[in-house]
Amino acid sequence: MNEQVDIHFYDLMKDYFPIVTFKNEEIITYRNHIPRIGMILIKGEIELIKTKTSTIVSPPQIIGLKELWGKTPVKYKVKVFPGTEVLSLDLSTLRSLVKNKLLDLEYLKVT
Amino acid sequence: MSKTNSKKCQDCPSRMDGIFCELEEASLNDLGSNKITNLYKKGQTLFVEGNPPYGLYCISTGNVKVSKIGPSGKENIVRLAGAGDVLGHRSIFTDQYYSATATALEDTRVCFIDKKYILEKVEKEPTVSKNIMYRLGRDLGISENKIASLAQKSVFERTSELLLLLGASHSEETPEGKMITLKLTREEMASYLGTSSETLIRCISELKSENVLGQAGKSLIILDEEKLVEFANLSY
Repeated sequence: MNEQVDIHFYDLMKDYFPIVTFKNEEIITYRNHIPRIGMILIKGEIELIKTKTSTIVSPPQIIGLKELWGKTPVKYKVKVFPGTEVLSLDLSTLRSLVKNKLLDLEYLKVT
Repeated sequence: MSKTNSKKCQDCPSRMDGIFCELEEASLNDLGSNKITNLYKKGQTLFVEGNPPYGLYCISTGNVKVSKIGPSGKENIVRLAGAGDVLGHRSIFTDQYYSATATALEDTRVCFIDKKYILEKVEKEPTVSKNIMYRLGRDLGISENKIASLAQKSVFERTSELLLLLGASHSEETPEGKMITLKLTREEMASYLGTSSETLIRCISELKSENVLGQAGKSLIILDEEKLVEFANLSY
């Protein structure tokens, strides 16, 4: 679900994807949903909520990228807080980068 | 964990009502491989007012309310969307953050298509652009009528108008009349009408006493549509 971001991966991604800021709190992905976007957390915090436990993640982390790429559901509910800044990774751009050999598939198989 | 049940666009029950209804097989397959389908439970939000837009939401089954929170914290429903409707398109084209929150009113299957893909589709497929423009125009018309109704009509007239709208979009025929199938609470109906629940309940009671409206369990039934049109004071 989440993993520390590789600096080379971030450097590559920041040229292709927009940075967005959340003004309001939002459950960005519900449990058992496929994420609509992958995120590289740049600023702020994101909470990963399981049924009974939750984890707060801080930058720099990748969240939901593997699940987005593989279209598999997440095991956590993902909540973002106001002021959180992320690099928003969409499926179409990822596919186009892979197709044009600008992005190594290995980066999308986050474990 | 297994993959969720991502159905093909060709099998979508709302395909013929949607913006992609005129796409050919190959385009639909391409769309299918680029969409993300999720089932939202009642009360779960598709997107939140003030947050950035990522793409377009296509409702396959179920219903969604689009609402704004006023300065006093009170919810105001600005739009109801059902199967075949799209959400989030305005924010994509204007590049603005969401101006309202979309919340599932019941279990709702929604396909998400990211911004980049939909913008490419709009450029390449004139039928998609045409269908989106049709929806933008239709929604603008509904909003204009709603503004006029709020300014010019009584709550009783507006209630009659809403019931007609729900009768046309969310109902099934019964021997007694059109039974409204959309499960809106009285608070939600009042929020849509810009009134209080108490006033709405009084209007519903009045319509029942006029034998225009009936009730079966929690569902309202339009018994006399002609009279309801008269009460709604429709000018179009």
